[in-house]
Amino acid sequence: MTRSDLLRRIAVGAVASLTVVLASCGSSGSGSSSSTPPSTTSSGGTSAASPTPSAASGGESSSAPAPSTGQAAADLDPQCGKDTRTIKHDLGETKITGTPSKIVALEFSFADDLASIGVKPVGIADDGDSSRIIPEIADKVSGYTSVGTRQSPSLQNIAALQPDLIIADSSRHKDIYSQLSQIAPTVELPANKATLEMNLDAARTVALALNKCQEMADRIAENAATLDQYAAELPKDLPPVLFGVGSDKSVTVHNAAGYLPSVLIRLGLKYLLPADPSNPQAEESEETLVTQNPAIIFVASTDKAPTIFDQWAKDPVGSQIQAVKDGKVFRVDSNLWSRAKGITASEVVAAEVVKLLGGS
Amino acid sequence: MATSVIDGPEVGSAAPRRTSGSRVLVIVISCIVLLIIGFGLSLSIGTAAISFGAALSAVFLGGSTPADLIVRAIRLPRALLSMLVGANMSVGGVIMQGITANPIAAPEILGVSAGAAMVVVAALVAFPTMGGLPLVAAAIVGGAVIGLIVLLLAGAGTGRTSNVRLALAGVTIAALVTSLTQAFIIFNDNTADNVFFWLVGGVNFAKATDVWTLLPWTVIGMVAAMALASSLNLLGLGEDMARGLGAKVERTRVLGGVVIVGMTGAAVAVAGPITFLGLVTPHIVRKLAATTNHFVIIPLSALMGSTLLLWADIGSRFVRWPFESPTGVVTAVIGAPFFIMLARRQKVSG
Repeated sequence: MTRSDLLRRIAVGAVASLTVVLASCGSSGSGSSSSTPPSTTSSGGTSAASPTPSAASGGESSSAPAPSTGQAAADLDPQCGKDTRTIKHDLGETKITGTPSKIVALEFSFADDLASIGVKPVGIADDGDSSRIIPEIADKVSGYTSVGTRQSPSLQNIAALQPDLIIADSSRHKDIYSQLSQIAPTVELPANKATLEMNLDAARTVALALNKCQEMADRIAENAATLDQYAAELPKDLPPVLFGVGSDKSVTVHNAAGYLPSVLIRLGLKYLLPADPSNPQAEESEETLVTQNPAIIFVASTDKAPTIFDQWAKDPVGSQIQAVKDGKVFRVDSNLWSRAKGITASEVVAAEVVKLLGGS
Repeated sequence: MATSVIDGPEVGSAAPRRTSGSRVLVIVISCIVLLIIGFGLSLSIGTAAISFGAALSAVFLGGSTPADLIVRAIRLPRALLSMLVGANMSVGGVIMQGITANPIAAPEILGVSAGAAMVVVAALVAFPTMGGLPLVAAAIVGGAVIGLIVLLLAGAGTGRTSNVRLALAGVTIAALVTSLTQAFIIFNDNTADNVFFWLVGGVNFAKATDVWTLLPWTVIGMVAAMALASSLNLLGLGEDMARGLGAKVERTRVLGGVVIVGMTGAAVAVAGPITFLGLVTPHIVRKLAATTNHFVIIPLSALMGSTLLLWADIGSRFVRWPFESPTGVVTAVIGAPFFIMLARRQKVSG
């Protein structure tokens, strides 16, 4: 231990001095690059933007015996039902009058939230690929117009739909907030880099904007009951699980601050990697995976393309991983497990988890 | 302690009056020492706690404990791949600077790496299971096409190609091609890990098969580069002088281009577009060795490029321990200021 620490220090020092000598400039290799993590930092604080003080009750419902129907009216946001509502969201406040009916959703989770309370969005940023809408909500949102990719949605297509509400992801669409606001009242909420709980809070905010608080409260209560039920079906005392996304060149593991891990935790599973909200995911080498030695792994990938994980599982090192030895590596669809992140999606994922881990 | 060993043989400033031959010898020896130390560190530094001695014994004495397997199956390919990629990129840079007579030319500056990466990504989108030789071939085609476009844009052949103009055309096209790569990735997948690899480049996920894919290209590329050394030396005297001495300038440029795209393309296919190595290494070599003789510069650049990337990869492990950061991040941190310095030295002309 001390020896490898020493080696590490020597290596850092040597690299740094080599760098300085060779490039004859003052920046050190490891030092300065570490100061530029390539991620947005806004998501860490987004949960604070929860608009409803009472919304915290959603978190408690996991331990309570499933409430069969919705929250009492007193628990809902006091603005609910009023004609003009001021929606607090991650990038400020947006005033909404009346009940919006032409809504554009710039993330799949928002489309799911809308579908969950029977609202059809007029536009969805579906990456130009309608098959990315999970089948469970496809019918409920049918007839929408694609507004392009989630990463850079087409402002022109959004404007053409003449929406009266735009729901955007505060990590992805931070920079186009002012443009979106010129088209229609816009709320920016956590979707991508957020946990299940933050996504449910976002759904409550969406409901407030739509003046459908009670419907959403009922739906979220139903969601809590469904997840509780799946949680109860899972075997007890399973070892910690790990979720990662595999590609042809690398494996990205998600820690407990990520969405999917938070769903697994909600189901009562133990999760292998502790939360790091500023960086909910990271690339991991085979060696690190072997060192962590997870006993249950969910590997998401697109289509049936082989991932580098498949090669690891066959080589002499990767085959030593407990999950590989026990046949507890589960291939899952990255569209549902990694992209979807909505209310319905969490229930579909939970059902798959129970099926894969052998529910009672 | 080890640091002093590394700093000790640092040459160049120490004895400016040394003859070229002994200078070169000192550089070769220091590079080899650094390479050996780096190789040992590369094998012994990782998330699994394995001592220096255990790592070396795993490689040279065998064994089948989990530690032995980790060293042989994961760390050894990673160390070897950094060395091969470092050599390929650096020699690509030497030849690029030689045939264009441009000190700020390099495969990554003139869009060859970016072009190779773009075509590889496009090929993987169309054929997700593609790998090995077909992928290298795709990278070579991409590198060649984009490299040619850059040369045409910069007005190559019209006799009015200024160094800065060539670099500008290259950087612009590279930026365009890189954003196309990004578009391919965004349209076809939303996982960040492919961006990590195909936009920045790294040897982090090296496999033994990658080493075997790249090795023949390194060997053939080195032989071909050495065969071009005397032509490059003539070209170094200036185009008119070279022609006067009977050099076939066009032939040298075409063959040089072939060697560049072969070596760079193969490296990009397995390690992504790792930047700045092809630019930086030849300059360090020429400066330290105080020579313009390509018979010296080419092998020395290969050696030094191997050493540099090996150490850059060791550095990359500490950026976000225990997770992976692309090796290309470290080379960019070293190389970007270097590029600016070189570009500032250029006379802006006609």
